[in-house]
Amino acid sequence: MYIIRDAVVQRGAPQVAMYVPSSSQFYYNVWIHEEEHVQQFGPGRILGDLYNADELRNLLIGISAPTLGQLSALVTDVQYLHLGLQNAVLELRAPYAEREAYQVSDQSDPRYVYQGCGR
Amino acid sequence: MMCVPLLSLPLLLQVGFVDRPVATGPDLDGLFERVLASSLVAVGRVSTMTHAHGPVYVPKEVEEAAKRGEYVSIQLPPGGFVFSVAIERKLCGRSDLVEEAQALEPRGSVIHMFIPHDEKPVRSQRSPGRVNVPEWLIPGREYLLFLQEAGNQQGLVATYGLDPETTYYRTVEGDRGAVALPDAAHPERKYDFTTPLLEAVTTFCEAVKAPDLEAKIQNLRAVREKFPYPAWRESVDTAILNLQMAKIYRERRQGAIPGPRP
Repeated sequence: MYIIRDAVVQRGAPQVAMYVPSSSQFYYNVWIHEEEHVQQFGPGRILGDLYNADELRNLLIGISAPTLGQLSALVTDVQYLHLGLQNAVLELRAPYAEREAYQVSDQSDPRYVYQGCGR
Repeated sequence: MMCVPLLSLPLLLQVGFVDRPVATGPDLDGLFERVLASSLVAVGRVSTMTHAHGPVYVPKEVEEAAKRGEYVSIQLPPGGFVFSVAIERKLCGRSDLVEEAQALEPRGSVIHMFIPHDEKPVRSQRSPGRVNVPEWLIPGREYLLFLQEAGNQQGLVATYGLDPETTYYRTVEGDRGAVALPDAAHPERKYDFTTPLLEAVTTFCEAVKAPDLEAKIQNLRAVREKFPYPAWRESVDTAILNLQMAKIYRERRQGAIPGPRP
């Protein structure tokens, strides 16, 4: 019987991809907006409880199986289950997170003709 | 009992926030091309979400290390999510625009979509400057879907351990092809334009579902001014032009009108 005794589970560093040319006058607005999304994954923020490494780690500790192959399969299932649930919650909260981020980025010049803060 | 300490299991974090310019109207750009690329345009409700992954492989040396009580790392096989969608309304599809197109519409009332978890955004081939993000669906919600069969079904089955008897679908142009429709819990927001989008797509589909080319063209002409959006008129005009050309080719094939002189 194999059992997970301990696990090092790490949350990856946030990566921002911007498809806006650096020459655009709105580059800085977009940057502020995306940085706000990064901050939203911090403690106490709207997305801070998602993709929580400790939560996943606690789900994995104690899982047991007769073979290492079966244990690996269980660990894989738990990870994908966790990921799917987190993705679903993120999708539900995304409109609110967007609204928050626009409220920050829309304050900086230049202003768009259509501002998204009212979304 | 063997205790297996796990070393460094990176948490999968593939978060998709895509911010696009604030819309000033429904997303009707390239509607004709998107319907043409769709096996089926439909309204459907997501019933279930499950996960699937490829075979788990444990190298012999890892197994030996685990037996010795050493820290081992479990490699996560490629995986993703399967969504079952109950089709509530079939609107139209490629076979309504191309006479010779095989009816690739799904036979049953439930279709399955598979979305790999680590898929990256890609630049649109149809809309310059647009980046398409993989679609994501929420169980229980209703969507307007532009569906096409996922490419390389056999490869998907082998890589992700999917059911070989099931046909898996994707949307046309990622999240653009899966538009969540408003409901009581998720009312339409100011810049969503989902209701006018659904109305326009439904109108377009009803027009092209007529049984013959001439009727399709007439129907499209009749609805050309129904919506004030430039992208709507452009899509209708493109559809009319393509159907007119199809009509000419057909008549030429049947000998009704002579072909170009050599």
